[in-house]
Amino acid sequence: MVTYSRHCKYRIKYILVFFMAFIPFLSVYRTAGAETIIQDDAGIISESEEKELNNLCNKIFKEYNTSVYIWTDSDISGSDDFGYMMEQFVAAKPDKNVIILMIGMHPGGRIYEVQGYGTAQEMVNNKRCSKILDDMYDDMADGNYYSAIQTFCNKSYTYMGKPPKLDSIIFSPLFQLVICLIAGIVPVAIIAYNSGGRTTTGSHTYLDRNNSRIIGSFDRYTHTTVKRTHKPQNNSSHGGGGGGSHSSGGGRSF
Amino acid sequence: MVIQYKCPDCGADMVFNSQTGKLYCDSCGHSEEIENYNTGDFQEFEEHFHSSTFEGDEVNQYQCNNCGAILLTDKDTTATTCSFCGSPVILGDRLSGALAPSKVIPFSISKSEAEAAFKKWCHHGLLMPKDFKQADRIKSLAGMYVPFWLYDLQGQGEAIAHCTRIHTHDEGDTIVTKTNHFDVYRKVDLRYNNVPADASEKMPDDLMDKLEPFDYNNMKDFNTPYLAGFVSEKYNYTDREMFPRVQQRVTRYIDDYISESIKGYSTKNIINRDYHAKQINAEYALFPVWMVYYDYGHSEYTFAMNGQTGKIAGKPPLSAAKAVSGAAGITLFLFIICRIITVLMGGPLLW
Repeated sequence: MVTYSRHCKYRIKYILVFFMAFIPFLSVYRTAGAETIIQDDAGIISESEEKELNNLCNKIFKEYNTSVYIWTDSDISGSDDFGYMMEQFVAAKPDKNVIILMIGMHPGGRIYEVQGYGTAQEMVNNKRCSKILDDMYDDMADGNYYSAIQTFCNKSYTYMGKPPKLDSIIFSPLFQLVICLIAGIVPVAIIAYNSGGRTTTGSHTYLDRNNSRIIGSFDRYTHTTVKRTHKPQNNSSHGGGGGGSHSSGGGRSF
Repeated sequence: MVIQYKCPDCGADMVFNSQTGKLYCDSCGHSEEIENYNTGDFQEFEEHFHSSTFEGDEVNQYQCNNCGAILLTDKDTTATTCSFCGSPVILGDRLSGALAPSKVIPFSISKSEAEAAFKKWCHHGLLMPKDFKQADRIKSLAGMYVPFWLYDLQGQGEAIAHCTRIHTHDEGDTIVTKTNHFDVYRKVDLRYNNVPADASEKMPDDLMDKLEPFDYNNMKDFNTPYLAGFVSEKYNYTDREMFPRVQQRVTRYIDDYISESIKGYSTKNIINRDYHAKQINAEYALFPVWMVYYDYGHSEYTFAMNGQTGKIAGKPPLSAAKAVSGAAGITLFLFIICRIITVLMGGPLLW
């Protein structure tokens, strides 16, 4: 018994040592992700802000294994093929799951755009990309880039933790609360209303069926009207097409 | 004319027994069938005074045959008990001529059963205050025959409706909705029997309506012994006076009948209707009702119970605290269920 337990202890020690040996590599990998997160070529955010944003992006990386890239460039404008440029930017990185925010600060036409790749393509789909762009717009237009990018990071974090199908209003807590409130009040109101007794007689209670009948009737067709409506668009991200496919918000000028 | 039923065996007062449907002597247990009961003096009286009718507002003085006391009655009372000796009395002249009921539904529920049924009803009142639910403050419980008019009516009506049938199908990216429009016509000839209308001015109409339906299979030809031991009143409104109320009700029934006969459409909208309800016959009947007077707080609450079926009507006090906590409880429960479903689908617990 004693020998056995000693063996066991040694074995556990070895296993622990084995795993500890990998820890530095794991952290290197994570740090590597963190280091390349923000590429502020346009110089619109300060160093301290960059640090804060890095933390936010790392949070997404740690929890959802998705890299967040923030790329600002003073040479990109709305007239460039910024979508393709972003694709190239992401292609040069080793990560597969990526959310990228690009801000083109060229005076000829400032532009910003969000794209999702890999898992993020599903979670941050076209609709959500577009929603992020909308939510950032006021800050972008006012020049509050840091605040706008913060919104981007926070929204990305939220969306990564919540499948797009849950964007439907029926999953909104406020909506559910309102419906539940109605569902709670209505039966109580019905009970209160009926507390004084209910009328349970109707049109058949006193009807003499043997001496009652329909003595005349017709159902005459008059005309037909036809209405055509377009099916609601499917909001999922660009489908199929191999490695190059991604979700996108379509870009916004500001 | 005061009628009292004496037991042929022991001479005590006999009352109507709701369990057996017979006249019953509490003292010696003797019972008498009612349907062929010989009402003797009253029959003679009725035959004699058949053409003369008791005037509605006439206040006669009646004396108890038992103790000789003056009976305290109001102008509508047709049966009551002597307030001095407790003997059941029936005022025959108020039940003869035009005031003679044709039909009666006897009580099937006794006083003790009525009290038990009322307590049970209170006990099951979800929103009633706790101390009201105990039902221990019943002030009085009175068995009363309420005057009703029973109408037979002919209902005729025709209606034109605009109806549609809607079909949808997909054509590529388009949803095509085809609506076929129809003009629909119905003409009906309906017969309604024994539609009741409460003819007493003391009884609130809506309260009496809620006591329906009465089971007409148990309806008997009127005979005075059915009233022995109960309070009874004569009608205040004639069948002609009450008819508009029934007419309105039957018109609604005709509309329902026509609406139900228009089937198989996605939408229906009656755009033109022409209904007539004609009275064929009206009979004067007495229906059994237990009146429950209940003291709660600083108010007296009145409830009515169908003396045949036990159905209860009357507005009880409601507890605001129970209503709020009930609504809040259901809301919270459903909200938790909603959030659990959301979490199971991969969403956050709250925001």
